[in-house]
Amino acid sequence: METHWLSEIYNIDGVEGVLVCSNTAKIIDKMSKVLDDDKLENIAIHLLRIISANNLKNQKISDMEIYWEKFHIIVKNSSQFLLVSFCTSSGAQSLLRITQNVVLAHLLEDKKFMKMVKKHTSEKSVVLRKDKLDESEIKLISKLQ
Amino acid sequence: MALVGNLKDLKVPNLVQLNCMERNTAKLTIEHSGKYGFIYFHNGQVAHAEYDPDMGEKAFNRLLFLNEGDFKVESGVKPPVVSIKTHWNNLLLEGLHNVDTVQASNEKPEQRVVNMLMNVKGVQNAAVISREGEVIASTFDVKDESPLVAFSYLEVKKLTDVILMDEPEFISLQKQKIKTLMTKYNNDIAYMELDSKIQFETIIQFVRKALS
Repeated sequence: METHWLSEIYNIDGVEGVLVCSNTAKIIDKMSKVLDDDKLENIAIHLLRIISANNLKNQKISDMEIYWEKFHIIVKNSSQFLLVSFCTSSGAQSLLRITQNVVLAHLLEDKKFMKMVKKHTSEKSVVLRKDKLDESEIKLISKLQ
Repeated sequence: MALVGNLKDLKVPNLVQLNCMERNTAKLTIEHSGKYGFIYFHNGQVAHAEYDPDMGEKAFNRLLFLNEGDFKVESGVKPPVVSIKTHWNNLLLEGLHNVDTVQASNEKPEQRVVNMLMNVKGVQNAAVISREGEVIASTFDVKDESPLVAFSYLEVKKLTDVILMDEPEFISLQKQKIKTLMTKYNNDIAYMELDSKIQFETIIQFVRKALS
């Protein structure tokens, strides 16, 4: 849908994929060579769980970066959606971070896009529902509350 | 001319003793893992110390723990402020007693790692936390945070299973004014709170070194 904006990120050297998902883990838009929708949604769920768990302690995460030797995931969090990039090149990180900031700002101002996001947004945190978590997750979450 | 050297050859207590007994006014600069510490002498007294994020006696006491790093003594440099009023003799004796006490209680390798991480420029707090969220060693009160750290790490681990990768080397979270960094340490999690201005690319090499 907003492929024009996502392509700004996707065209950066080393970027293998980019996605926007709602806070209910619904994939709103994506460009990816390597990961299918199921995997992307699964990834989004785990990222959202980290964000939601931090919210329980009144800690708002704005950025998240996960690094392997040759692969990075860089996440921008607005309260209603996540912008996630998958990258294989460490040389383009600064450019990628800046471009993500710019794209996030544009998406937040795009009324049509935000209307689409709101359709899939929930006020309550759905990703931390106990029936969706395993035992080890429930144990740790119970220590937070 | 400045006196320069390495702490492997001349330890911090010896440098303090030397400058105080010579009644020097001087600035001692110590560089350890990219982080700088300063001790100022005024007429043979320790007048001021800085070691990020601490100042005064706390900074001085932390600098006594350093066993390696480059140093430089510049004569004639006056302290910018006076943050220490204790006589140098007492200051040094108390500081060294503290070093002995801490080292005796620091037999746990996790505590040693935490202390090493605290010497990395940009690290403001450090802890080792188990995957069940228990605090194993720390430099600050992290008990409230530890289940959250363990939960975040667990979710990243689950995410890596989706994309068929090993555990990541680093996880960085930017919260309001705090930047945090997590990495695997043995079977536990090394957790750090960082200076928000620090560049991630700069700090990771020093963190790797501290954990190796």
